[in-house]
Amino acid sequence: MTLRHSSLRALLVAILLACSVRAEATPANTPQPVKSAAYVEGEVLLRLKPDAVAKRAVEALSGTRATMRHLGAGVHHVRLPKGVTVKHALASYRRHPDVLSAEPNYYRRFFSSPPTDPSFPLQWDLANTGQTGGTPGADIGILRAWDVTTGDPNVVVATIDTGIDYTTPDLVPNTWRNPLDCDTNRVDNDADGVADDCHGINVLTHTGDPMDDHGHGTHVAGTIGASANNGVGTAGIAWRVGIVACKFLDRDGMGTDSGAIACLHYIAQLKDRGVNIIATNNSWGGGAYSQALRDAIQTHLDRGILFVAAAGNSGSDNNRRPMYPCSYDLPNILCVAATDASDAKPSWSSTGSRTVHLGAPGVAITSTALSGSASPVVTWSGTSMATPHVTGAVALLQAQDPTRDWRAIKNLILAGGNPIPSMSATVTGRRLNVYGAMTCANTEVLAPLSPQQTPYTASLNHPVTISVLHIACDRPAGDVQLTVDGSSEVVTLHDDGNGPDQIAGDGIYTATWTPTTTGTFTLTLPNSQIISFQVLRPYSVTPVPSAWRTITGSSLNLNSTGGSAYGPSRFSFTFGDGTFSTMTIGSNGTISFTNDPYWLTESNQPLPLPAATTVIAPWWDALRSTRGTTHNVYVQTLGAAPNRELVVEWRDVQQQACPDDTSATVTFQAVFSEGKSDILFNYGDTTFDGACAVANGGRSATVGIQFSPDQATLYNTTITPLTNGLSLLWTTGSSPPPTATLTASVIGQGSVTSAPAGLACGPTCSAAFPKGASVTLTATPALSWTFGRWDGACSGVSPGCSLTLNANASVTATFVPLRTLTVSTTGSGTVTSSPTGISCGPTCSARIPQQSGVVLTATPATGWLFSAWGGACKGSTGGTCTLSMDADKSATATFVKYALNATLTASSTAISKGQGVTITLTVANQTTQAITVTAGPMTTEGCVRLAQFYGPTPALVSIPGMGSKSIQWRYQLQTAGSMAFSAYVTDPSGVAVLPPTAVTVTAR
Amino acid sequence: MLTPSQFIFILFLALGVPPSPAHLSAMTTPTVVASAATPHVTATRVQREFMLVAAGTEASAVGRGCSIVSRLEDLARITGLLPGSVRLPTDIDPRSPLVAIFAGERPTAGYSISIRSVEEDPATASLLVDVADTAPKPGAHAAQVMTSPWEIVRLKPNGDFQTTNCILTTKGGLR
Repeated sequence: MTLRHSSLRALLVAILLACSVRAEATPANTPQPVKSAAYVEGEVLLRLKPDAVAKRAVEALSGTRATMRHLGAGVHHVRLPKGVTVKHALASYRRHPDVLSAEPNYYRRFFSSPPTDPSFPLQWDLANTGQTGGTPGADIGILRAWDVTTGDPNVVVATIDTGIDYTTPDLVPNTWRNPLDCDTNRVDNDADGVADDCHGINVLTHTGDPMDDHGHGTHVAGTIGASANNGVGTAGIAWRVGIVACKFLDRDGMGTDSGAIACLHYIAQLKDRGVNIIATNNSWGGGAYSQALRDAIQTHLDRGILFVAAAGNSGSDNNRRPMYPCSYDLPNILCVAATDASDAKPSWSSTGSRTVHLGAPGVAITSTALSGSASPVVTWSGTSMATPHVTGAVALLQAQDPTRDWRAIKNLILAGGNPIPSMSATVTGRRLNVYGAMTCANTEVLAPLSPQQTPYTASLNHPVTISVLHIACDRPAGDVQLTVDGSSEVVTLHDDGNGPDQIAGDGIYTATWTPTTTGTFTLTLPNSQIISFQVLRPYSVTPVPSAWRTITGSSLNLNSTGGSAYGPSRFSFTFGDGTFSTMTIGSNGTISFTNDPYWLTESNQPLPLPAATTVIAPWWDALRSTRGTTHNVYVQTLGAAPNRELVVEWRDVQQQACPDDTSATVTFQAVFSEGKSDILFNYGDTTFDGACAVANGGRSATVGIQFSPDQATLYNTTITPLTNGLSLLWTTGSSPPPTATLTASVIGQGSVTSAPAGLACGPTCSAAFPKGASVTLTATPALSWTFGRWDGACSGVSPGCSLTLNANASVTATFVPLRTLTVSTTGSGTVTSSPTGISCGPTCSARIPQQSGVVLTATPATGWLFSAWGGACKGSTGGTCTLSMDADKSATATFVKYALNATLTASSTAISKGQGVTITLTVANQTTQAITVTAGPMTTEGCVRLAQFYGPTPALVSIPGMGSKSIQWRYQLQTAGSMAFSAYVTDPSGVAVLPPTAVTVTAR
Repeated sequence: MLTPSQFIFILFLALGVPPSPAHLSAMTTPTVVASAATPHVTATRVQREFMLVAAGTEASAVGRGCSIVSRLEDLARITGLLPGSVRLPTDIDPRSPLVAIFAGERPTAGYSISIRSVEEDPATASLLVDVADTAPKPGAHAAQVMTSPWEIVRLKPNGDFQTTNCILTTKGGLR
């Protein structure tokens, strides 16, 4: 068959058009050629140049075992030899000069016929034709996605839930089977702590049987991976997948942190041993903040396992009221809200513009029921049902491209969804679209993630972590710069895994910003989204004389766990120098200006509570007020403007532990002053007594004030229990003590510490000290290093430095490594160094700072001469050697013993008076090395009048090796008599070593 | 003759509805039901004995309320609010009606509602149905599935008192 190119194009266009005839939501982005699993393995299509010898081109790359068939228009169908992958072959062909194009042999078909499962028509979430009265196309785009892949049994997800009914026909094929312990021998064959964990575990019974006794986990699993086209029930999102079950929710659907942590640990174990677990489904939540649970989820982050979580069904804004585990600030968490068949948000679905990532269908979702039920399917609603849609999408994206890691999969899901108005209060504003995720191209998402709480309160001079999501489909999209409104300050966020950024390359860009004044600040993203802060001044507390306010008050009529919004008040509240119009009062002894009273659980927690921004806690404990009784909370405004007070009084409130003892009560107040940040805690009755005496004095309570998620001031009731008549005054002070920041940098290896304490750092650190403070810094070198010098606000080479901190300052301490200098000598003499360190005879060594200049001086012993330098000093002349210590070095100094002989002669020993005589001193050097000696002066002894004609006194004489030198003196003996002439010779060190024999001359 | 607990258990088996822990407790200690059902006269009110018929958490009732089933048409209306798998007895007797209570829509698993006592109130020609609600324990995690707890009991015959008025009370508050 022969086709012209245009005909071929027409054919391809026709195929593509045929492939797009479906009524379903169009993804937000342009579909791209799909990857893997959508083409025939072992086959490619090549289009060759007209003049190319096709067979040669093919064989050049694939060998003679490749088979080829010409389809026409230069297009050849090639079957690759066994072992040659499509990916490899394409890469090779595309480089070949005869190949115009090379591509996989894609499967082309009409978009999948809907699965034949009898309940598939009920699954509007997968294929919404308006069958439930909703909007056609308001679904997750799965039909087109199934043309790309329907899953891979080697991709495994885990459900942490009520278990799975692994016997129900729709789940049997896709329930994971543990190849190492899938028997009933009651032996833990795979040493994972549980025997016979064929499909997962039950942490409630500590067994390997995760059978579902509720139905919730089975429903969730069915949405992820119910078997398709099997004539039973529904179709899952992934037709082929492995589902591990971990049961920690009981038959009532309730569970604990410890159970969830045990499940996470088990799943991490499986991952570590090679099970390809890529995500967990977590259609649960509601517990309080738990560091242990967060840490357990972080262990999954470390292993690249996504944690898909439900946003919750309380209809809340999770920014204001965190929902855990959804709200933990971990990059591997994907939090999911619910949408209905019209792409609307059900009233009960929680959202959160910084905490809930996207929406997915969660209303009237039909999925798998427990075995033995009247129907194989059941229809339920909840964010529990929305969550597994995302988990199923994760499985398909991994099946589509096994090389993707969790970051790419998460980001594709976030960027590939359909923007819908009802999800505007989520991070992406999108509803899941699986096909959109698979084909995402050029879709950018930029949205703030933290601080999570809105509004957010920050503490003065305390750094705040800011992060935003910035992705382009599966990839990070680049640094983000935020401008601080009203200033020229720019904060640049990075995705480098350093400092506050948790993981590099996940598309979450992070930085810290430190507010230096109180007030409201707005940081603006490049797309005009904003992050706002109210910066508050920290509190301090002082016990003061009793300031009890006597009020009648109006009862808020709270029940035991209720909160109450109070406001707008007659006057605005001032807190931390900020202004607030509304407060929320909790029955458990707490007040907040910014948060829902979600923390009003039976148990108090330590402050600061990361989930909250402002907390005023005069007595946070498991307190009990009773609606309709006098055991309640009262409020009353006292005084006149502008000095009014609002008194909040918890009057005769009980402990939850003693509900039947109505006399076991306490009474206390919080008093707010108009126009002032001062807050009074007044304590009237601080003893429960009776069965709740253990809680007397607030011993089990949290007392304090929190002004940002990580900053609070506490009153320790364990050390100083609350007493009747006690008042605590909480103030922000007129102004904070001014501080100056001292920054220390270290070059080399060593540390810098300060007194007063504050600085203690390696490479760099800073600390704030009161302005004007005297700070002493000490530089301490690491082993084999020495302190070099200070730069900046300190100078000099002493390791201690004192400075007065009147303004911000910085210092640099330079440490240098120590090098070893070894010196050895031959002969008798010493070598010393400058700077000191070397002072040795035969051999010695010293540790000397690198790059230092060292001068060695060789000093011979008496009777010895310095001869020569060797080693590192070789070539140096004279008795000194200068070295630069750029490495360990060794030097030698050689000394030689010398031998001299001196004679004194007269030109005549008998002369007439008035006659002259020449006295000659001859010094012979009997060593091979030249020696310089001092000769003279000539001395005389006798009774003769002398006149000296010439001769040096004394003289330096250099005598060559094995040579001699003579010095002469000439005298006239002017009278008769004898005269003895003598001389001396001193060696180079000045010691007279040669007193030659005197010579006597007689004049007549 | 089946004891009330045996009846409940068999009903659960037949319907595939998981009994709650409270119901299991009732099965093992049937006197719990009997103690709440001992008739005695308080002023003008008379307590009625009752027997649990079925209970669950997946009704379609959005609001809270109770209903007396003393006619077949009442039965159809109530059945329409229950999961399709629930089959109620069809031998409706006005002297021994069914009483259905609904907690209304709840945001998670972990909620339930159960009848503590039933009183005839001739003054208002009503049945006063005192119920106890169960909610998730604070700090616990719950499956994030919307629920609508319900319970149906059958009153034992007691004279000729008949009414279609049903009033829910919660004397005990949250359980």
